[in-house]
Amino acid sequence: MKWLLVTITVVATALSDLLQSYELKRAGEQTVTARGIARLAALVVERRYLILSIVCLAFSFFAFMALVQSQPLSFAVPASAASFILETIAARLVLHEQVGPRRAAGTLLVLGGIVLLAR
Amino acid sequence: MSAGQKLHLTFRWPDRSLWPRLRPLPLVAAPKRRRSGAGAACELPDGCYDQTVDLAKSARTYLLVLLFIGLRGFGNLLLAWGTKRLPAALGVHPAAYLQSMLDPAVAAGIAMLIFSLFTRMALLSVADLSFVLPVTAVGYVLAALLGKLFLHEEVTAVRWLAAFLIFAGVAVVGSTPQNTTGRAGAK
Repeated sequence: MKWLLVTITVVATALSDLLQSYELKRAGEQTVTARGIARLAALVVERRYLILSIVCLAFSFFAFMALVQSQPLSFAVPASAASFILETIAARLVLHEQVGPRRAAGTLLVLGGIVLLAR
Repeated sequence: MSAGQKLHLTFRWPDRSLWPRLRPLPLVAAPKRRRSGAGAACELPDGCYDQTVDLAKSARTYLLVLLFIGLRGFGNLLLAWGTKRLPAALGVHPAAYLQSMLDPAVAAGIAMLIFSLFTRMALLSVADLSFVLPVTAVGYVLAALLGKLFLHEEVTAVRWLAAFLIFAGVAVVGSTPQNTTGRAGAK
């Protein structure tokens, strides 16, 4: 059961972030002024991928909550940090971002830090 | 001819040809390196980007990163602090969650977390996902620090090492271009 929850958390988080990144880059530069937030809220309602990303976010949130309830945080946090790897690979393959050796090395260092932090 | 008109003629603005020299320094620097065709030689460790360093956009991106990290950190702190001081433990009953939202600290925490979600969206509109993910991981360190400062949680030596690793990783990722797809926002 715990691995099912980890899988749902990781996949839903990755899907949510990929959809958001794709749709928001298409929408152009956004701001966080009062008008900018209203525009972002309108975007979330208008764009199908953004609605889907929020649904995925909700799935990942509740799966993570269920994981935390049944498993120690020292397992839940590093296990769900696997989404880092999945998202970086997907960002390269799906979003065609240029993930060079420097960015990959930095991401691995951060991942190592998160795993250690949860101990 | 009045005295006012004479004064206007005497103190004219400098000639138009001088204007470019009086302008502030341009924020957009010249491209560092351009892809000059298939199989072009590349000296950069991260590959050849059509890379234009836009300092203003870069600063805006880091400002969004800081705002997001701060909002999420303090939002979570308020949420944790608010729920811990509630008289009854939260169960599976939705009414208990709704009632907890009436607490000012919990309500403020939720508002900050919603605002942080919009900030992250704005961030994703200007920077790569593979850039945003590791850079915003500084939030994990902030969460540990806030937990130690306000909730008196323990921060062990291993956790400090973890914080160092995260900062090192963020520094490495931060040295790469923020946006490599060229679809929108800062390059």
